[in-house]
Amino acid sequence: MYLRPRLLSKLFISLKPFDIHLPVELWLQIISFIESKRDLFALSHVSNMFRRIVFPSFRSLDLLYLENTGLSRQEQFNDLRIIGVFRQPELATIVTKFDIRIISSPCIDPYRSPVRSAWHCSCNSMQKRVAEALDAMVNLEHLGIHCFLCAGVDKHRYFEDVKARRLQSFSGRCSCAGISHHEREHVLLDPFFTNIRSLRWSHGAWDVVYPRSTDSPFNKVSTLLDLTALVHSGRHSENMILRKRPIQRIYITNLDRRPANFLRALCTFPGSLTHVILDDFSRLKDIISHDQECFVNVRHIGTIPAIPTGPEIEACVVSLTSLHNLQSFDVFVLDGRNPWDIRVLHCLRRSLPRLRKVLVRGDMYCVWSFDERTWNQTLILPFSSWDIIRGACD
Amino acid sequence: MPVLLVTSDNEQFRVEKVVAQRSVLIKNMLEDVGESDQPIPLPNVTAPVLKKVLEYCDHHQTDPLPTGDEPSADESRKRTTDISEWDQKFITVDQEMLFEIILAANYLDIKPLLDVGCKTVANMIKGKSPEEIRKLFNIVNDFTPEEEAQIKKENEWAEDR
Repeated sequence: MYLRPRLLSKLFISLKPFDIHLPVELWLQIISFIESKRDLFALSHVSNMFRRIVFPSFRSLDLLYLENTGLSRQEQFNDLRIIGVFRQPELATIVTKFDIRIISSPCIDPYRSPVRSAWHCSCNSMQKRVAEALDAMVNLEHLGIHCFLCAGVDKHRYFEDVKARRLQSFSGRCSCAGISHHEREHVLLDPFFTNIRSLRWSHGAWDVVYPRSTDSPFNKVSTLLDLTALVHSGRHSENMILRKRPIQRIYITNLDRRPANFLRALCTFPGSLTHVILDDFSRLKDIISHDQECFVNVRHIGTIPAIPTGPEIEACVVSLTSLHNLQSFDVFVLDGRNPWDIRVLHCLRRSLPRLRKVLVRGDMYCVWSFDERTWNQTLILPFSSWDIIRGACD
Repeated sequence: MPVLLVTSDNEQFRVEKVVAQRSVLIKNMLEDVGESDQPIPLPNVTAPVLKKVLEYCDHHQTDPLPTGDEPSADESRKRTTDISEWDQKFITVDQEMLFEIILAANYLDIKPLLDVGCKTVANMIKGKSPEEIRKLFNIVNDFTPEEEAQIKKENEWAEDR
């Protein structure tokens, strides 16, 4: 008797020795242990139930290893397939957060790597696919891109003609080889970024190689008009952004890199800071004393380094009592020592009466919140300074 | 003090209270009835499955109990599919028993055992095609022809254009 393959398959299933089915809530738990988008994509093609329970996991899409070398042919093929899938509108519209790393060669310094001819490298085809996916992700709110493209290709083509109607935050890192200053600086002029509110944009040798210029696009107020949150890495371009835009949330890194320029920019900037995070917390006092006006409305301060005991915490926090609107701060805990407890927090409220939230990170991630009577601790997902700045921890 | 558990197939298991209380369901029942010799009925668990579950509870009887203020599975649980060596050996059972253990762990509210079972199934799914997953878990392909066409389209989008 001839049986079509599909019927054979059904016959095989019916001969299975058991027929126990798990309820949806247990499949949800099982799927919570699956992170690979490839596996989730395969599950979404199993049955209607799986499709319904897997789709929400595509809201946050991390493709951090889209590489065109260093992986086997099959792995490269699979990663390219996944990004290709999200060019499809039905799937792409689900995505609100997208992080991707596009790397040409993770093992070779791109500045030393030979220029690859187009047929040896998939940088252009990857960029094309990313561009098509970004264009289809009409509900995208948060984008993170780290690109590390070959010297011989045009860079950042993935932003061309892409329309992201709701993009709120962009975290970009360009480690590409052979890119001009003009190309790098003008990435953020793309209409794609018109409405973003939070920006982290880092790359090598921006103003080490190129001197300041007064005709920078960041001198125009119309560029990045809605920006209110900025990661400041000590670059001249970031000082220009700061001078012209009402930034409210700032994460200051590399302050040793021309601090005078940053402080000058701070004196003239038109906004009022609400969130200030420094990677070197010991510099906070200097910055506040330089221009106290900027800090009148500060509600959040960070990151308080790992402090081993309660009394030392109280001594550290005394310097913050001039910030009358301070409501929260973020702190590190390391080496298994967590001195942040209810007793310490109650003590702190005597000198900081508006304090109502402490975000703890490092060995553990939790938030202490004050509910008018006492402090409560809740464990939370890991977060970064960037997450606080872009409002993801509010 | 031992506790008497009765399975759905009327088999009785006498176990130490500390072992039985790995199950939040049994712990709550014992707290409700107080000191009593009354057997505890477990109508959703058969004897072979309870035997296996008790083996797990016995081995893990000194582990710290999960507390109520722990974050939910979606929050801070590490999404690792690493399973300890003993647990791996313990959970190396046929698929029918694996599913029965997951259902029992869910019913008896033994979260660490539930996690071990779920991680094991998650590991079985990894790297498989939709058809392989269907065959593995006896899942019926219930897509309509229109939905099949949509899935075919999604696969086409994966290919280079």
